[in-house]
Amino acid sequence: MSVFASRFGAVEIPTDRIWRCRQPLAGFEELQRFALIQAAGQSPFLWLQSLELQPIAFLLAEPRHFGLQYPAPADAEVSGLNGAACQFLVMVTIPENKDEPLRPHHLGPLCFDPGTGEFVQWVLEPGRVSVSSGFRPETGDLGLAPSLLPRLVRWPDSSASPNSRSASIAA
Amino acid sequence: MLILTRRTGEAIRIGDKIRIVVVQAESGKIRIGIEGPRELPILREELYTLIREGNQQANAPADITLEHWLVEGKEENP
Repeated sequence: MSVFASRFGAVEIPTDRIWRCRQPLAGFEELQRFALIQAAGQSPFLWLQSLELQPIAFLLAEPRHFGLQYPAPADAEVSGLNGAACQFLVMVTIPENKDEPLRPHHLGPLCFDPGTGEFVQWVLEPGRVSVSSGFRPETGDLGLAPSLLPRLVRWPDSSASPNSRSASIAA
Repeated sequence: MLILTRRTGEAIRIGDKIRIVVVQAESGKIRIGIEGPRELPILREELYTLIREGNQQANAPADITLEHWLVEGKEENP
């Protein structure tokens, strides 16, 4: 399917790369379908783009870039997903003032299960997770689970035709 | 809002899968037990509010720029 995202313009989303939100996200209960977009040159960040409301996109990063570690959740804690197979990504808030630090949403990491193509937000009590030690991005690969990679959407899509790529960038 | 009066040990049911029991009530505090599907999210309201506000803050506007925090930028300008 092709969607127009406010941030990226026209993006082709193969149906096997659509993520379904298994439990509604607090504050965004009406949204169910998303794409994980890896934008060129924006390491170590990913975007969780809503496929239903184009202005909605969350900035995500691997928890380790903030010094965060999460234990493997019980399956019931992540709405029945395979907790041991989950890839955690945290939402990141960009401050308006560049002198302020990036803020990870550390109490609500997103748990992506590549086996089902579903994700949930795992809500932890404040005492169950350490506080971020600040943003210290690690260079190299994104550190994502190999099983997650086939479900990422690369942008711009280097395999797209020259015309469609130009259209995406210009949009 | 539906308001019910219950004593310690009494319960209410929501549908056929959720049962809420008053375990203890004293000194202005009430302990409740909740029985329901294991996958049903149950949160204290203040934690739900914290999560919702964090989600809303993380919804980045389309015109926001990331250059200041990108790994590539850090390497070029350590």
